[in-house]
Amino acid sequence: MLKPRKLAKALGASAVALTLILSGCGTATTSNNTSSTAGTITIGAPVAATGSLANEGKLVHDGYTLWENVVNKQGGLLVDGKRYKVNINFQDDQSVATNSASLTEKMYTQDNIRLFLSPYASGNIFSATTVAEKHKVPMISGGGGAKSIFTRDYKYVFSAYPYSGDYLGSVLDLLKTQGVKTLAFLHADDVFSKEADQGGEDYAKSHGFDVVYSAQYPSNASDLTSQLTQIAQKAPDALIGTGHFQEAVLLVKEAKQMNVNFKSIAFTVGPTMPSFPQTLGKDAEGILGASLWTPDLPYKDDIFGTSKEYADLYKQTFGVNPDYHSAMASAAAELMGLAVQKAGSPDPQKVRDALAGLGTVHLFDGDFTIEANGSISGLKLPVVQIQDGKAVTVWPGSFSQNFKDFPLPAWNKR
Amino acid sequence: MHLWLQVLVNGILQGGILGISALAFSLQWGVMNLINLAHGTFQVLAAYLTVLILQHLGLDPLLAVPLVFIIFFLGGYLVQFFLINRVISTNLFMTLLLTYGMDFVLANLMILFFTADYKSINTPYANSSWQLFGLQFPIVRSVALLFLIVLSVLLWLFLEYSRPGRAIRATSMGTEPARLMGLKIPHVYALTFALSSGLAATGGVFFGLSNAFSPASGGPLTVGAFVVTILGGVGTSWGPLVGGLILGVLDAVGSVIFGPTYVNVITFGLLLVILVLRPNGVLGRAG
Repeated sequence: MLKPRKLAKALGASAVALTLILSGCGTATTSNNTSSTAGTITIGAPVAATGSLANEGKLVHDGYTLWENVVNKQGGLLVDGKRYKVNINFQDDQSVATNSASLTEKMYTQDNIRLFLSPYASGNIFSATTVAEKHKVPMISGGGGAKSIFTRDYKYVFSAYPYSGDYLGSVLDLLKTQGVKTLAFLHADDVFSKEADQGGEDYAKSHGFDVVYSAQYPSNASDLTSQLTQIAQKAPDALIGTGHFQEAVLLVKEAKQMNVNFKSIAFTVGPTMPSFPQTLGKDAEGILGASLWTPDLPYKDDIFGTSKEYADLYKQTFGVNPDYHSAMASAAAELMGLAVQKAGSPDPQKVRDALAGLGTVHLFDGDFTIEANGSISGLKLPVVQIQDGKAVTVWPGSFSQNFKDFPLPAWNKR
Repeated sequence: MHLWLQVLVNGILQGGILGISALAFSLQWGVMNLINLAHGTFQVLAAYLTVLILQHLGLDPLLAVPLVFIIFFLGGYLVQFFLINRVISTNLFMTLLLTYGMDFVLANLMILFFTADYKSINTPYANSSWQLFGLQFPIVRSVALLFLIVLSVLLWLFLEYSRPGRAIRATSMGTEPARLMGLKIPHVYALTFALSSGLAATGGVFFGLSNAFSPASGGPLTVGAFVVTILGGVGTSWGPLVGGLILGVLDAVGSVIFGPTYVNVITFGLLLVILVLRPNGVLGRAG
């Protein structure tokens, strides 16, 4: 018979052994812990749940989660004839870019995760992807598309987002059809706004528009009346604002105060959010917004079905209508699934090669092509217009039938 | 010519918005040596309160100013008496820490109650303007400047001629002699903070009418009030008006000449110049 002390020692040793065995199972990328499936594929995602990006981080989190739910409900991902459950391992980067990198490192070294979806915001993606590249494991961006992420000759970084500089192309195409010739550009001084503005101005100049005014203001500006006074002197057909929500609201309020009228007004950030018409009331009517996705788009795929069905499922799951941030995140997760299936294995090198060879894909958010540097091209971006307090899709293609209020009525005629 | 006249008007009117926000900040700093880091968040809270009053009582924001003033006056008295008075006699660092903490708590409570979404006080006249000699005078900004002038006069009269005003001035010159003259310093401080909270709230109503705001909008307001206070001279009744006008006009003219991206350079460059050449502000007495 064992003495109590020896018994305790033996029990302790078995407990340690058991823990080691169990943790060994848990850290494997694939493991046989589900009876009906061949294993589980774990994907890491260092997405903000707290801090200044918590709001958008939540949208990205929900976008990834919806894909996880749907795939698992369909029995898992069919890889090389076997079904694998998917599991997204979320860790909070607290909105800090350096945390996005260190969490990616931790998930790689300690949690043995080999496939990654990106955090939210270009800055955070920029730093997290450096770690993924170092360890030669693929990371797909579902949270931002600054060009600088893709100009580093990285081989393991991919994206579901168009470049920030492409955001305004559709708005300008739409304005072109209405005979708009002269444009005024105003933008904030952060990376995204600068890139989106520069892309927009280049596109405008190469498509026959005349850019009569362009200026950069500091983020959080509280007075732009003098800029509007200057713009009024040049009398451009349209005003294009690239900044943040509060500055879009400020520009509309002050344009009305200064009685500066335009045939059309468009913003990259603002009109897609429900609080924009709520804040501005009837002064928001007719204003255009550059979007990346709306539920009206005519695309579909095997996982989510149509854009409309995606929106319905999202609403059913999370209780709110999806915004483009969530749709883009779901598309990024879908890309990961497609690549794993094409690779026939969750091996990071094979998945990376599969991603690079995906070519043109057709997803619920649109058709696009994976480029050699990991970015995407060809996604047709929609434009929304505020009509009766709601954002209505007015571009591309036949959606232009919905377009109205051109030229915009003068402020004092509203 | 028309462009520059309108830019000048824009600058003067922006000076009104800046100045009305700095009135309270200057008073607190001048009398109690208190730099209130929660100042901007107080103003945002006043803007939210105005939205609630408009939604639930249907009271117009400009008519609601007295009500908002009184609520903040009472609240300010309690905050100073029970909270800030406990640390104000220790050192400046402690009051900075306390008001920073208040700012944090207030901003997060507002997120809890009002969500992080942007709001704006919407009235039919909020985005309208008067036209005079072909120049635009946005109604809200014009009324803000009018309020600033009237409030500056009233504040001056109050501090100069009323008994509590003299008590406040006596205390600002030195707490020890004031105490020996029979003044109850904690009450004088609480009265000062109450008055300045009411003034801050008044500025908040105008801020809410002219801008979109969220619970996190307070920071830039505090910085703006800080710069205007130093420009005009700490603790002077006319300092905020003068400082606001100088900053408003220079920012407007500078943003047209150099581009709006250099507004911050102009603002803080001016601050630096004033600190070197006239450390007590334009209206401040030589120290």
